[in-house]
Amino acid sequence: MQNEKKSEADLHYDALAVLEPEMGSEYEIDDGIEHNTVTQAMAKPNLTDMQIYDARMFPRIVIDGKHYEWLEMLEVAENFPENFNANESMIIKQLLLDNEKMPYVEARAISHTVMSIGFTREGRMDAIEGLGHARENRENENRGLGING
Amino acid sequence: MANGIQTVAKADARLVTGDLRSGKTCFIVGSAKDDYYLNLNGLVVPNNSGQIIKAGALKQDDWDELKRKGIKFHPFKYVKVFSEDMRQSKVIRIPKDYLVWSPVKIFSNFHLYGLRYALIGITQILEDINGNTIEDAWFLSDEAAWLDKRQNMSMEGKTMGSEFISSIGKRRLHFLQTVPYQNFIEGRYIQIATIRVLCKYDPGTNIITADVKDGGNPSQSVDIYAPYYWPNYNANERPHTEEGRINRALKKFVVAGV
Repeated sequence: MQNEKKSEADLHYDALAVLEPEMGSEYEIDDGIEHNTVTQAMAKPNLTDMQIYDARMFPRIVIDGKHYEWLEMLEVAENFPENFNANESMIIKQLLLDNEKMPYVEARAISHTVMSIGFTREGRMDAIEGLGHARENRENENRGLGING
Repeated sequence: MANGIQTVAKADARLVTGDLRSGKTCFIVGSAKDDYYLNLNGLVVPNNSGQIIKAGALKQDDWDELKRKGIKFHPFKYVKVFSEDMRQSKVIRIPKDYLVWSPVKIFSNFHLYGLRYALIGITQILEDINGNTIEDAWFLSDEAAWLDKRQNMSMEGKTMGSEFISSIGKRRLHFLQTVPYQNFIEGRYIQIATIRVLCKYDPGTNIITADVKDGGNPSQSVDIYAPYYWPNYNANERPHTEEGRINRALKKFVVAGV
């Protein structure tokens, strides 16, 4: 380590730098729990409010590894009240056909969730409202920083 | 970070705010200490011989092995030491009085313990304003008067405000400035800062909660365990006032006949 070729700047730094022992052992406190360091804490992925909102409001439907995209489309479709029960029973039948071991109540819960999100276009309205709030918040947070464009 | 050729990257200029005793200094010390330990390459033998044992930071595999043996995780207590020919290695707990050696450069305007650093004041910055010493490094500036709003028309304020802080990116510095409230500080740095942090400290759990706003990204709230960093700085150390400034102030008092 001492034999490495050093630049003038590094030599200057070496002349300035010191390495002193840590403060006394009274500063060594450990609660026995595994904590993050600053770098670890800052590196953790942080979902945006909009992503959390999106995941809760419009759940991704994956059953036994199979992605049901057509069910997710119904979340933002206009589901008419007069067709609600008929559509639900169709979805339940399809889910039970695809997944033999699926309990009836689970198929019913999935179909009801999907159909009620899009009931009378409420899913679409929620998505638009959520986006509007997110945009407004971002503008408020950035106010005065000159980055809103 | 150390000794790498760097292409254009986002500048790391952090403005760390928070009430008095809210863990601001701990946050900036922690940021530098993490990088210092991550890049460590030796253990200094404590007998003034200058002998350094080759060592390295633990990888995830090493931690998995330690955990299987029932050893509790601690980010700063274990290292991997190597034989001279680097063929053999062993994970050890850092023995008492051994110090960690790392190529990561740290400049700080307050004292650090257990980390190799250079104590720096406005004099050293002015001397190196055209030099290359303050480059590729962490720069910890704890409530430094040189960026205070009231000093921004003094010669040191002008130098720091207009020349030094504008070159943070080009110098590839991680520049960390603490201040209780951001309106206490030179306006240019408020706008230059790329990451803004607001600290709160809970004495019950010893956890610092830092709200981090990194550019246009959404705010992020992170928890930091303060005792990991307490052995590395003195929380009661006051910011050092340059002799030149004291002399100037004293001279004015003498002239005014106070």
